[in-house]
Amino acid sequence: MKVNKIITLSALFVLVSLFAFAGIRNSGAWFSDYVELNGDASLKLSHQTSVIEDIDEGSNKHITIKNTGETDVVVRVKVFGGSYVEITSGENWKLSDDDWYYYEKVLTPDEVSSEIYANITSSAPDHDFDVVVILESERAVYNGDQLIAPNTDWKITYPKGGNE
Amino acid sequence: MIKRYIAIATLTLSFALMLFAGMQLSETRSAPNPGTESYNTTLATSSLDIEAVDEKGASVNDLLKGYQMLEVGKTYDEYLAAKNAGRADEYVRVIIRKYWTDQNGNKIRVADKKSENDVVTETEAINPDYIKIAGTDTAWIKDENESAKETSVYYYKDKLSAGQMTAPIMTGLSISKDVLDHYEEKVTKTDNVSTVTVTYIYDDLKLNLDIDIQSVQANEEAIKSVWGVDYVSIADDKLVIAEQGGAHE
Repeated sequence: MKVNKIITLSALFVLVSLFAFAGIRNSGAWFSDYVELNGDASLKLSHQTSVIEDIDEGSNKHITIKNTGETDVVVRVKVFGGSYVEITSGENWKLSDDDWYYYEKVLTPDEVSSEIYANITSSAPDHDFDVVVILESERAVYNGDQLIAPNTDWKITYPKGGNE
Repeated sequence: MIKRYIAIATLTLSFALMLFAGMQLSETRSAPNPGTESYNTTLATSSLDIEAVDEKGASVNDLLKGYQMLEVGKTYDEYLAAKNAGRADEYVRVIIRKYWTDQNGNKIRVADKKSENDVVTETEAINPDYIKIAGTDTAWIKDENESAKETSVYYYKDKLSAGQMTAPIMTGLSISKDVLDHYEEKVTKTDNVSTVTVTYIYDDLKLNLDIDIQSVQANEEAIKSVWGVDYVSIADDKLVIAEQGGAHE
């Protein structure tokens, strides 16, 4: 009889303990949630720029620059032709004291600059001479949304009105 | 009489075993493991819901959408916040991972310097620090205990009520122009023409951004249990992150 009571009480104790244990453990069933996002983008650092020289019937040169690469670039151009050549430049070109024409706008991929026109004057001698075009380009470098000097050797700050 | 006692004891033990089995099942379903599908489908969707949103509260599913090619130094708009889309109060944390891969998606890590004599080459020194996250609001407290070069963990200090949005996790992203400091130069000569070719180490790499926004019900024990952190506590409804040598909000 005593044994049976012990068995019954033990079973009840186990049952009560489990109820209590289950209650405690269930309070650990916390709610939570999550959301995952991802994305990627490429970085292209190489750049390529072409100078296009169209010569008209008067042997005058129509010079434009095209960004043939995949990244934004800034460019400058110097034209040599002696005193027989008059240079006029289109929109966004600015002649600097160092005789370079700086294009004051970023050339985006596939974009073509406005024209630099090398006009052969009537005083030109009646023999062959060259009109030489030199192009330099640098990849555009930004600071936030503002374009900054691509190369300190250029001594020019973009955009117009920035720090020299 | 003895048979009755045995029957009662057997029934009681059977009931106890059934209860125990049921509890184990419940335990499995509610285990504080946010990384499993079952956990979220079973419990999280019922009352707690976190959503990634833009500045207008519209849902965001992808990052860097529309930006295939990035320019160095330029800041690209990428607004991201979290919104409590459920019915219960919650606390939020975010895990931000930024890293570089090649075009095939192969991960490029910062090389571990194994000994003083090992040389870390430029190619190995691919640096996630050059990926700059901008505009993280000061309400997001960085967990210096868990953050590393590639991964940053932030806790939103305020409790988020139903329908409420957090301050921005980020507003933009840029690539430091310091990536241009890593290049190799090669000069070739043909007759009287010299050609200089500059190859950048970071050229043609892919920037990757993974963001995991996690929420847990507004309870300190829930934070400790679900997120597995014992150094985050709640004081005046705000999260406090303890660090070595002190604590700060």
